[in-house]
Amino acid sequence: MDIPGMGFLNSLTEKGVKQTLLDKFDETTRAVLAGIGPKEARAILRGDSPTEKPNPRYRAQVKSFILHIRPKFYQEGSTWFTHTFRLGMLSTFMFGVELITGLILMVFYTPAPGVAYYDMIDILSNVNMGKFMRDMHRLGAELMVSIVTLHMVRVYFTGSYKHPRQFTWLTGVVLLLLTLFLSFSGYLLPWDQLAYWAVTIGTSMAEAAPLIGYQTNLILRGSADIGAGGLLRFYLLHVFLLPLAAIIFISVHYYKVSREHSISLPAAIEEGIAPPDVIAKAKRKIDLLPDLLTSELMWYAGAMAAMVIGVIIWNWAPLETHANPLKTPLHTTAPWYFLWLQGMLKLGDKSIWGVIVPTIVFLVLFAVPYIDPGPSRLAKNRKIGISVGIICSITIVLLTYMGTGLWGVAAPPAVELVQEFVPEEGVGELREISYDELPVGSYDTSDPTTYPGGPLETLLQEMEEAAHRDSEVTGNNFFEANVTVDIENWQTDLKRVTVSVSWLEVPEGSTDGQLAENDFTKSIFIHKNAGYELLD
Amino acid sequence: MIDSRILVGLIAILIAVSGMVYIAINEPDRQEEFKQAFEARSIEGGATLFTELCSECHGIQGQGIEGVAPTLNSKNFFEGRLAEVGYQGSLESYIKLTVAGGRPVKSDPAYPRSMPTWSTDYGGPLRNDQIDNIVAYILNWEAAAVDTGQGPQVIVPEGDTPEERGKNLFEIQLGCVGCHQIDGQGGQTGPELTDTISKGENYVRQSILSPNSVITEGFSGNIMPQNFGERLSDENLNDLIAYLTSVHN
Repeated sequence: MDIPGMGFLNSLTEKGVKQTLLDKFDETTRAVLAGIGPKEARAILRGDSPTEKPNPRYRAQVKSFILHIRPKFYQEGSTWFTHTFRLGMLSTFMFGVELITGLILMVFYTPAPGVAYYDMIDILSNVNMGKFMRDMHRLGAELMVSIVTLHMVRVYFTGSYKHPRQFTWLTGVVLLLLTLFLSFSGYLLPWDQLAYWAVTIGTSMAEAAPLIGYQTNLILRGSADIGAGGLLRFYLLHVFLLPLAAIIFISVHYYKVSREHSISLPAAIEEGIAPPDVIAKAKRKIDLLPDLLTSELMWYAGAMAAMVIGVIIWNWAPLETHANPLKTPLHTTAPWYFLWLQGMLKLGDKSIWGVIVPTIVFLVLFAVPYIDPGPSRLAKNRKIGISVGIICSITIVLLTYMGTGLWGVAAPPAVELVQEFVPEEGVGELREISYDELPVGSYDTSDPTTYPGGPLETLLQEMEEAAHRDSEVTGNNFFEANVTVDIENWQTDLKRVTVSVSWLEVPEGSTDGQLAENDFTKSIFIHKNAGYELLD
Repeated sequence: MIDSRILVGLIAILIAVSGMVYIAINEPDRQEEFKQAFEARSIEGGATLFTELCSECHGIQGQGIEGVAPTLNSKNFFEGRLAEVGYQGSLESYIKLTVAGGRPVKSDPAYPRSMPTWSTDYGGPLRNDQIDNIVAYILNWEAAAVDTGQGPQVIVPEGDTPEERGKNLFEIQLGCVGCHQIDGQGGQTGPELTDTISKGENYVRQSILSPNSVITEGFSGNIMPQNFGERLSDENLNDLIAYLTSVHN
């Protein structure tokens, strides 16, 4: 008669307690690790050869869901660092970091105006490691955008998009777009001034699209302006639709690489130009288990360590003041990866440069493998392709520069002058001075006898230089500018700082060139505990 | 011989974990510091809003303006106001409610102008975070609030000449400038006053003591406080007239 558990008891009497437990452990490990026993697992981690025959590692790759996605082996040439720079793998890693930190942040976030910003404050002041999660999420996003872009650049310059990898390239461009939109949709969620206005600018570009512009903008924003509806839509895009699409496309993209054509080998090897011994070396098989796995784990651990250190040293996720739909801050810029678009907008018509040209750029990008059907991947056979690539890269860098506040649109000189030291959002040199080093008094930058010493004196000198600099720029209707700074005690632990600029100018419509006086004043309040470095 | 990649990986994991432990250890201090910084920024933001929106009636330093709006920067406000009006909650919630909802119902005959509604929830212009900032700013007066006794600050004319005292009364102590413009400076609730003295001293006196006697076209009655007669001495009135004469010239 079979009694449940009888086998275990029998083996206890037959083999003794120790051996029975060891056997049970072995059995359980094999069940969990898809046929890999404890001894074998140890050998994999140590990089030893297989302990059993046939090689249980290959068997695991068939039986395990997670491992079955991966190829059993790689050709050595495709793993050379200088060929891939590990960019595809690191993109996936960043996506993983975003998923994990994003899920944690989601727990503490409500997508509603009036609540969202306070949730940010809560994450920063009440949630343990909340700032760490926010910084990691932001840093991961920036890195993901950079790495995905670099991955595309690498694939382009090594010609790896060519047959048989055309379709993989296409899914890759979709993933680039998804990465950009993921990052951009997340931009709105903190609901501060930075978020609100960057996204307002972004969606207003959609509005410039011919025929469908109005509708697209309405669908994205939920109303004419971004409000409760827009925030909810961006939130759902960010946490649901776009990640889902990304997971699907990453799967398709990776399945193609792992099952159909593998990672490309350097062109000289694939086309048989390299010396035979190099080719032989490049075509040597490297098993996923344990060689590549060890290498990958090392890279993940290294990337993680680098990110943690980066988060300790720098603030990645700034938080400006609460979103204010009624007040556009001076010098609102798009996130850095959209600066090239903002740069193009300065070239002319919004519909053409903001929508039509970028659409064409991406359509061309999708079609690269079909536009360039030449079979050879060798650089010497792709002179046009590589030249175009270099020109496009330089253009993007130039457009990015043009997109920054450094080029083009500027406010009146006096406003710019004050903005330089006391920006509307962010810190600026004045707020960097500690509360106690702002002595009460009136200071005239042109009169050094009024200088108080300390860091404020340095600032006053800089203001004086800036006023001179701006007064002497040709084309500025701004002469003999003079800056004064008044500091008053206002409340307990609160000072009011008033910066005034007075200057001479030719009044509008004047024909006789007679100069008239004008002035601009801005007051800010500074509290002892404001700790500007904590928020920026 | 251990695989160098494993070694590098282990060291990296060690660094990442120690980094996170380091962050975790510093977390309570950092959170506390952040809370203070946020509170401080809230006060800064409130100061800007108060100066822009509230100072017209409550005075630039919250000292209040007789007949327009009560003082918010006085010991009496922080210690006695709640008992005076019989409010059961905290002073913070009292201020917040008042700012958000305003005073739609006339409750105190000393202040003929009603406190407007500020919160967008009730049709006003401010978001709730802005109201929170204003509340934080007002509460920050508590530590150094002026002791004015029971009522608002007493009018003691300051200045050496009648014109100076009048200017002080007009701009600070009575806060006329909140509603009346002189040389383009001031509020627009009431008529422009740069040239008003040309209508004669008596006209001006009558308009201050009994504002509804003549209502300038385009303005409404019952907005200007009716109690200046009780509050202003003859000297005060003469000072005001001296000031208005000086601006006319």
